[in-house]
Amino acid sequence: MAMSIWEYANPKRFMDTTGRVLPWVAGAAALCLCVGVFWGFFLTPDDFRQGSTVRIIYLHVPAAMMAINAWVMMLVASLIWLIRRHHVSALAARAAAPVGLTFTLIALITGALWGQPMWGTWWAWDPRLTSFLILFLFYLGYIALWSAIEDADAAADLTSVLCLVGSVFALLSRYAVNFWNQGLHQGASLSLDKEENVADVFWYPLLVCITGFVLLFVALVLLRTRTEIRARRLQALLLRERMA
Amino acid sequence: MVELPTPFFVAWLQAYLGKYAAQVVGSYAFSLILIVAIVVFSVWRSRRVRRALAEAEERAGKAP
Repeated sequence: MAMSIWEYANPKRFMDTTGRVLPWVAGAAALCLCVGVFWGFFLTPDDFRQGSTVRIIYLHVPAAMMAINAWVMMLVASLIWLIRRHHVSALAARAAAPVGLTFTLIALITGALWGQPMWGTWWAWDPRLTSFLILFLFYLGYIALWSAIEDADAAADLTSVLCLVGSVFALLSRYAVNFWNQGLHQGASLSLDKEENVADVFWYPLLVCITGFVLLFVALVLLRTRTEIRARRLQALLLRERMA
Repeated sequence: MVELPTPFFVAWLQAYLGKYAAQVVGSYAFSLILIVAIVVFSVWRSRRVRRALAEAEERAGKAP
């Protein structure tokens, strides 16, 4: 029998399924990250222009990709909440935000550490860097808004609207280099065009690291969504206790 | 003033990564610390909430 994705809107079904899947995803994430980071750090050569700083790519690129994709995932979950009112989707969006914030911070800091020797500056008000900083601030605002509102449904409504607005900056941070052909940040390092893509010796470990970051994101979001579902039930029980 | 010997691993990293060793090691250290922090915090909160829920459900089960 074909399963519909909407069946996972049922918290019990979500908990049953994710409880079985989570250890495997977490294990695969740990394996990919260990292999990718070890491969990238110890087994790849220096770049002829960037020297050893090319090794920062194995953290910076996957973190930056997932910083944007985490917001896109939150956008989809927020739209599902706004349209279909499935609580699990609102809680999944909430669960993803601190993970996305962490990836955004990693991308910003590793980018600055790479930029200092390569560009001669830690920071520039370049379109991509600036839109990434604004995305970081949106993550902070999103997390603060969830915590500031006591009514869970009202918080989900307002944070969903904030997520829609912030999506502009998530998209800008991805395409800023193409929109404004200026600034320090170069174009995408990854491309389907073999001429534009990074050399294979860097590409394969990078691919493993990207897979590791994707799996880490999925594992953390599943774990944190399960926690949010339990926290919601706990809140209901405590409320019932107080009223008894 | 006594000059302490450079630990072997640090000396090896400096030789391996050259003049950008601080930036590369800094990037890896910062990223790994943040990743470990979000994982540890998520697992810790998950366990705390699960334990509190189990206690609340037990109390609810005993309630008349």
